[in-house]
Amino acid sequence: MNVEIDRRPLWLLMLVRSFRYLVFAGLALTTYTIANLTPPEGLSPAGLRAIAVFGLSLVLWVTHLLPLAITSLLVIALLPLMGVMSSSEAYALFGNSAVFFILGALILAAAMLKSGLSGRMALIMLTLFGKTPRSLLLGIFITAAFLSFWMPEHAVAAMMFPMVLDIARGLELRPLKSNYGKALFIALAWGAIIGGVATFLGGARNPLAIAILEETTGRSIGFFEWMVAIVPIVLILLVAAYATLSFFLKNDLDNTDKAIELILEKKIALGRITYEELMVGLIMGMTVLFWMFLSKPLGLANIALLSVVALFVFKLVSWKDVEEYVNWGIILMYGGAICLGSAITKSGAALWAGDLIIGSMAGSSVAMVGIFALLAIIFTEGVSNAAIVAILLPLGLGMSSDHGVSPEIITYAIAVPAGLAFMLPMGTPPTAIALSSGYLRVRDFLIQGLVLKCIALLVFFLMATYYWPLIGMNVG
Amino acid sequence: MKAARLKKKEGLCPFNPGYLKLLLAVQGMSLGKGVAEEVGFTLSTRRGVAGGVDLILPGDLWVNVPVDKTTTEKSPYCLEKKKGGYFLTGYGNEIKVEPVRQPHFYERVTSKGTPFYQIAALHGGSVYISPTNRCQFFDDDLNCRFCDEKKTFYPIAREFISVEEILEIIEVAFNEGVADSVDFNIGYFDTEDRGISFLEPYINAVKRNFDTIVAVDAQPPKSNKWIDKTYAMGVDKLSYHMEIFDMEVFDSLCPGKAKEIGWERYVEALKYAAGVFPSGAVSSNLIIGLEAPASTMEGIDLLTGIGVVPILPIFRPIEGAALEVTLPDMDEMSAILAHLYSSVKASSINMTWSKNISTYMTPLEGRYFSGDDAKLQVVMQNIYKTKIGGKAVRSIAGLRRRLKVKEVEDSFESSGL
Ligand code: SF4
Repeated sequence: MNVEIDRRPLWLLMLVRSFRYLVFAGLALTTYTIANLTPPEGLSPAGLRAIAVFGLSLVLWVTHLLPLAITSLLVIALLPLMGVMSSSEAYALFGNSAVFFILGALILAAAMLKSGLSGRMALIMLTLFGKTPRSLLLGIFITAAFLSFWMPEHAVAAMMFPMVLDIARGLELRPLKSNYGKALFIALAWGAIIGGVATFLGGARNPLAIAILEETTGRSIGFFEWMVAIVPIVLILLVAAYATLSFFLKNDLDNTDKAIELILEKKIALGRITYEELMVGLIMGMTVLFWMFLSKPLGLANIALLSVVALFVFKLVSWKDVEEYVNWGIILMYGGAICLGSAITKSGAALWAGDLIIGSMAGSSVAMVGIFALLAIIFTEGVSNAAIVAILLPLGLGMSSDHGVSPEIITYAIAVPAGLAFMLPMGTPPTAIALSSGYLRVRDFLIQGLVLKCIALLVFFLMATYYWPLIGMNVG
Repeated sequence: MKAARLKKKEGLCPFNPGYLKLLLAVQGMSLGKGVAEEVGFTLSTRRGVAGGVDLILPGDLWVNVPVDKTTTEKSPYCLEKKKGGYFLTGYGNEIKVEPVRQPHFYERVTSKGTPFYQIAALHGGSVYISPTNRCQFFDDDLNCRFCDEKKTFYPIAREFISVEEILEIIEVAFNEGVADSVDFNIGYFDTEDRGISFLEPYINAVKRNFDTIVAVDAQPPKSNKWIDKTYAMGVDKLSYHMEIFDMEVFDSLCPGKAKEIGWERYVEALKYAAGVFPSGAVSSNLIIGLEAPASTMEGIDLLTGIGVVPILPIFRPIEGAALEVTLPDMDEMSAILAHLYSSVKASSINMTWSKNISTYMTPLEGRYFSGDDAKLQVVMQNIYKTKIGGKAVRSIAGLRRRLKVKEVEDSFESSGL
């Protein structure tokens, strides 16, 4: 452990330290005050308290005053304490299948890392794409996006994470300092996120949206139909995201020579593929196939957990390895986020806020589509994207006939932007997974994520206006 | 002639404890009948420069007075026991003083059988500990010429003393009430850190087990990161002893320090340390008598200019050390000490960290020669000597360390997850 002595004057250090406590005291006071105001008409006291907790957690998650996972634990403790939901309800939500899906995916990634399979795959990728720093970055971007067409973006990010980590370490990129290191992990997250909106398979929100559409209106959107409407948007977004990344994070890596040298060394050291690598590869491949084709009847989390059990049956990984490789912080953070999303939905806070904002502004059909898309793309940063769909879609479908908007259009307008959480780790696991690398901070996602969000919204509107009519879909 | 001048000085300032400390430190005193036994003094348990009897003079001034035959033969002073206590007599005057009885501490042995006095010594409320029994300068005959290994480091069979033994010693000293702080001394270590990593387990153990101030006397490490580490590991006071300001004299009398460390590195390291530790907690010895008085005064100014407290031991020949020295006369010594006080005061360095050390002259003791009574500093030092005051000092020192020390690690923590 190295130490550094802070040379700033003692009074300043005292001020800085006490400032932290003052901020905490201020946050506690503000939360308490909001929670105890008289609720406005249409909002229940529990809803107001849920909004207070949501505001507090948003500040803590964004400012990093507490580690993300600890903020999530605070959320879980606060919701029952403030009477938003019962303790049993809050803690039960923590056991949501999505949490276990993420856990399973991370253990699978640990096995890949431990067996050396991810290292070997990273070597293959480096050989294919790693000629120049730009082509390597593009390679990660495209691979993540393409895989997310066919399997959940969470799983893609979790599977590719150890490979990208190996690449970053192989290139000796300095955590938090290297632009290229940051770009690698952002490319992973954004590639997975953008690819995840292309089909029904990219994320739970898409099948959920179709299910709500069918139950509410009796109408539906086909797998191919969805792709025809959305894939062109995805392709344009991929180009825009790569350009944004290259613009904000200027390449500070001269070449991938070091990596190529390392590849040769490692290839010699690795030798032929081992039994462990083969078995882990086989289990991983089977898992991906099951996720792609059998996730509906079997459930994503169930498949993931069975695969984990298989890893232990074949003694491919030990519990010690799991403890070492799995970042438990992500599990805690995601559990808290789901809990919070559920709280603001069930307490009626989300409905109240949506009604308040949309009701007064949605004058025309175009305005209504625009507002829903905007709300979805904003709220998806703070709440899990499936929750956004669950909150906004019933409201949107209810209002669609009044405003002359087709239910399919409103489904796209909510489900697609809800998947585009480019800025914050609470929105979607790929960002949280990328953050767990230690190569970047939340603020590294913020500015470029915001820019990409604006571009994404613009692209969405332009395509809805000019492209969708060409395939028989009219917004107005 | 000399005796006459001394008599005059004493006559002018009969109640000036500063002068008296100086006179006694130089001239020694004889012991009246039965006094040695009464105060429990035995030469076999005393060593090096602190081989005399500790007296507490009026004004709570501690002085270690030589009582060996060679020094006291010509001394006019005698410690006598009379009705009502102990009196220091000389030149027809007498002053009531308090001899520091040799604590039972010195008669104890550790659980492993090592006598305490071979490892530790008590001075002015601190227990001085040498966990290793050697200075590596002696290996190559590069030792400071005024230093004698046999007197400074007892020939202990083992290479170093265990942490448990050190804790035992400190516990006894604290329980007996003869010390409330700890001072680790190490000689020269031929390592990059100059032995601070060697001391770390001792310091950690002391900090874990006692609420106390820990001081370290060592040599400047090769890089400043070790100074940061020294502070971070819990050291409250630090000394790198230059001993001599005059570079030529430094080179000839401290050949090891000159060759392996260098005069410039002392200055550089002291300056850096003064920026890390609290004001007044970094000090360096300049021995009076080894160089010209003007040079010592220049050295004082150099040290105070970089935020370091100069501490002035008065050269005392150690039996066996091959060095003959003529001490400056009393006027010159008084001028040096007056300068010490005013230079530290002008540099606004906190003087209250330096304790009453019986073998050294501290800046606050220099006030007796400057005509300034330093009321505020004396009041502050007296407060620090109380139980509550001491507790406050230790708490503030701990809080300062918590605020200043940052642990640098490149872990996932930094990503916030
Ligand atoms: S550094 Fe010099 S004074 Fe200190 S112990 Fe070694 S020889 Fe003696």
